[in-house]
Amino acid sequence: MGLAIEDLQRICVKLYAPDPGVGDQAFIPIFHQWIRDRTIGNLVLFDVADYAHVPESPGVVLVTHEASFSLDRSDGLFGLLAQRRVNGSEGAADMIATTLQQVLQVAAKLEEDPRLGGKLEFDRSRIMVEANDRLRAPNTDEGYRALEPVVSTAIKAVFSDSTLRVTRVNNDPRDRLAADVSVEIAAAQAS
Amino acid sequence: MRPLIVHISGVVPDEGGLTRIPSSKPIAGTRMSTSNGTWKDVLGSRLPAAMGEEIDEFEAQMQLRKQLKIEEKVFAELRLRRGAYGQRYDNGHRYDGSQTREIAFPRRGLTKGPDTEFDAPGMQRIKIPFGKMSAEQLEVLADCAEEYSNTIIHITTRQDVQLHFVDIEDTPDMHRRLGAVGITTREACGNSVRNVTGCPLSGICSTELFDISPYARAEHLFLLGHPDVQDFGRKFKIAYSGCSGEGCGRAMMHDLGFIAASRVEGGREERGFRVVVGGGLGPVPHVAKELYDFMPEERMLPVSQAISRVYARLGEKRNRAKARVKFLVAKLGIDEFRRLVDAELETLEPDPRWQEWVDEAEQSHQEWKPAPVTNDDVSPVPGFEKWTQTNVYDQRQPEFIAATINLPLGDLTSRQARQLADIMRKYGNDALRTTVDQNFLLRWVHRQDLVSLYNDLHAARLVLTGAGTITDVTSCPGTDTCKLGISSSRGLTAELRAGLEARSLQFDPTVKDVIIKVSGCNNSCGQHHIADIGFYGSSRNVGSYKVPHFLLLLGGALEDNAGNYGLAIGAIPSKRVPETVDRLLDLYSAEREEGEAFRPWVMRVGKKTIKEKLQDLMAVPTYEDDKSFYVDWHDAREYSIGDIGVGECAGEVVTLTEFSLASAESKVFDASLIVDDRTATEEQVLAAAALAYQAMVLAALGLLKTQDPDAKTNADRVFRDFERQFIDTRLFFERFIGNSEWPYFQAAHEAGGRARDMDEARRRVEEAQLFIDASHACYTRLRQAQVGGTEKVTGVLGSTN
Repeated sequence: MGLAIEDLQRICVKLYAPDPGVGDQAFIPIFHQWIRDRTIGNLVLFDVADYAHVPESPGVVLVTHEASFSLDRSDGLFGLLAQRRVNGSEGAADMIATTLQQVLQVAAKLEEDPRLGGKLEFDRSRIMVEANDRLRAPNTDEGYRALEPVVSTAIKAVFSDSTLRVTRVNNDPRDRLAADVSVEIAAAQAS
Repeated sequence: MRPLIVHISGVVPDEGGLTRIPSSKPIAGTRMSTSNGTWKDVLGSRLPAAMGEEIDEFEAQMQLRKQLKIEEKVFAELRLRRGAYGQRYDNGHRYDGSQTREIAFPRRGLTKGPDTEFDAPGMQRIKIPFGKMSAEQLEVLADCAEEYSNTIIHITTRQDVQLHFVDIEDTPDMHRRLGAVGITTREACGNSVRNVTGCPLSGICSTELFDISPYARAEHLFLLGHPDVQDFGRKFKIAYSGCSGEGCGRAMMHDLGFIAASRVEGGREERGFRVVVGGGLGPVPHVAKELYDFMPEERMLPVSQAISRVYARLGEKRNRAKARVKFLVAKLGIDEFRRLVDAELETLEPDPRWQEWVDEAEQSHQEWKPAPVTNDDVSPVPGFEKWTQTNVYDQRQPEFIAATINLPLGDLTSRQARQLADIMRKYGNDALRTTVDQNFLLRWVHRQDLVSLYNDLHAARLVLTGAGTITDVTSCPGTDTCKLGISSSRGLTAELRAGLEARSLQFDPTVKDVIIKVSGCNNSCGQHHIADIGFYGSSRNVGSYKVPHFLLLLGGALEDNAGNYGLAIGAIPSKRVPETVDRLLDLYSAEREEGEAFRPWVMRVGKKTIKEKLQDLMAVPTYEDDKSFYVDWHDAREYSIGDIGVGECAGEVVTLTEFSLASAESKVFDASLIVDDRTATEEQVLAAAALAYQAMVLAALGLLKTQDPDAKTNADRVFRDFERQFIDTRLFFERFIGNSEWPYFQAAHEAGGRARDMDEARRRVEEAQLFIDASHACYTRLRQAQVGGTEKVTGVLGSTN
């Protein structure tokens, strides 16, 4: 039985950053304000969840209908992780690309928020893409062979003039299948 | 599109979900679109057939709801009975700090219950009977938390697991994955028997009379889906306790509690239980009353069944606020309630399971004594001594310990859960218990492995100290996710834990023993009544503003199976609660007598005196002086109670008839999917005819239940009873409806549910839909007759008339 990676809808995309050291609670008023102001027009924003009391957790989460955006430390590294929440009509590569664009959008807004004092700066040259669906994308060699070109296509769709290096995240087989993407972005896009 | 597995059965499945007529071999589905298949394909053989059918039915009901073919009220109760609960903001509105605004869910207006948007995420409650969980089950919970929630697994004060922010459309697959490892979500919410809880120390405890685990398991299995627990006016909670003196079992605060007891009869020691009934917390707390001082173990299940029948028959159905069994017990008096239960016991048809499961319980009562897995020369990583002081319990069995894994606010991540599963396999007997304090208990660890265990837990960041002490504050979800939450119980609890942890070195052992519990409202999910210091959320008006408060209760106690509730002292502004706790502890430390525990100190000093000493903390500065009082913990919005919704602690009362009609709709829907599929094989289409017949039987059964809630479910009997009660009496007939539909049921029944060919099978499906429509119409007339009193219809809606 082959894999139906094209049906993959549940995905996570993470962008890493050095820990800004502002404390997770600093993000709560920012997210509440975004919800009030409907800051991100293409997303239905409606809740803020706080798991900062749990070590290596999603931390503080902005919940939207389309995806959850968390200040995540679940792999031990700080970053902004988007978890797709609902299925769409797009194929897997489009879904990943859309989610990546949303992460970049949220990341940029966080970086420019004065309440964080310029301490948050995301590394756009490293992206983690996780297949959050053990049925369609099991964490196996076969699963990775199917996922890798989809991830490459998706990242290329966002960073068209970039050079990519996609590697499989070496994790517990019970964890989700994930790819680590190094992106060498053309100067014009990096800005 | 999902594939369909059709089970052909000539007899309607009973509603108990436990005893099913054997089905024939499943026929492979026809609508597979992905090469991976679906979870239904993958797990089909691992799921018990009855459970698989129930989940399929729920999935079909969800499709019907999307097509508006099931009433929202009925679907709400159907999903609640699958543990799929509502969550804050699911009414499609949210207060943003200045005004309440609409949330633009895509399918705005499509609901999954009254005032509950279909697209809004919800909470999935998962039953863990008496808290027992295997490593494999924990791993599947972790998978589900990642794929359907936000990686956080939450443990409740009733030993359940909850996942939040779940899309209702994901729930059937989640239920299948859980079901494949023996976990059910059935009746985790709704007006039925909730998770059966039990002492997490059972079997290893030094004060217990005997291990209650097998009995709690038997109770869970016996009542799960039992026909006698389907017609309650509200939820029904059962707890098992191994001793009378401690508080781990919480029997006295439950609707029904069993406390291990024994007596000597004819020179032989006989096991049994002291049975208590009518306890409960909530806005009007009751301590349970003794129903029987001793009930032999083999009578445990029939007694539960008889109590359920009395409650279903006489309990309040219309006024939810008075519908718990505690109100019935209070209204009737315990003696009359006992008389009714005794009388009911006399009427019960003997059930072999009463004895079989007790026998099984005794057989399963085997002690497990694993050998050590590590050498004793392992060195601990830092923190070991402090951790062992509070988190290690010496088992009754001298070579073994149990370790409490203290979870902050009852939460852990999926990754921690997998690490814990590995630890369980390495050290224990693969058995973990969730606790009523929102922690885990890892049992049967060889004392020689203790250091190594600590090191492994440390690596998983699961060595939070202070289990069962003042820093181990428990909390319900409150305003974080609960529709009923008034104040932020989790935000407050996080603050209290951090503050108390910082002070913990100053506390002497008596202060460390003080227990604090927090609820977000007076419904008491945080069990604030039974804490030394309890809080529940409330709101107060100050000028033109609302201010989050917590009402303070003092002097509750876990001892005696949580049989002593605290005294209300007064409302404290949320932001002054940590300071209030500090002052209380200082007062207690300064004024207590030698060895005096917190509760006796409260009783001796008195609430009036204590309140006077806290009076200044109850004041709220003006908005202009300090705006922070007008914002709740871990929130940024100006406080409001505008987000409070309608609770789903119990859904609306949905009659047995409505359930049966919904099941009929689901069956005929499945059948229609098959006949609409052009690629379906002849075998499959003929199977659809059988499904259509089952649907008609279920519809007829639903109508029969308006006359007798105990109507027999066998297909032949349903047909005969229906003919006698609805056709001969012409109750089924109306001028335009019913006259022509009855022959459809007749013909299907005479054919034994089979169709001669594909054409007849397709026709049968259409006829079944018409018969169900006519049944709905008949039910509507019966209800109108009951409400309007224009026609005498006995026993309508299974009421007490």
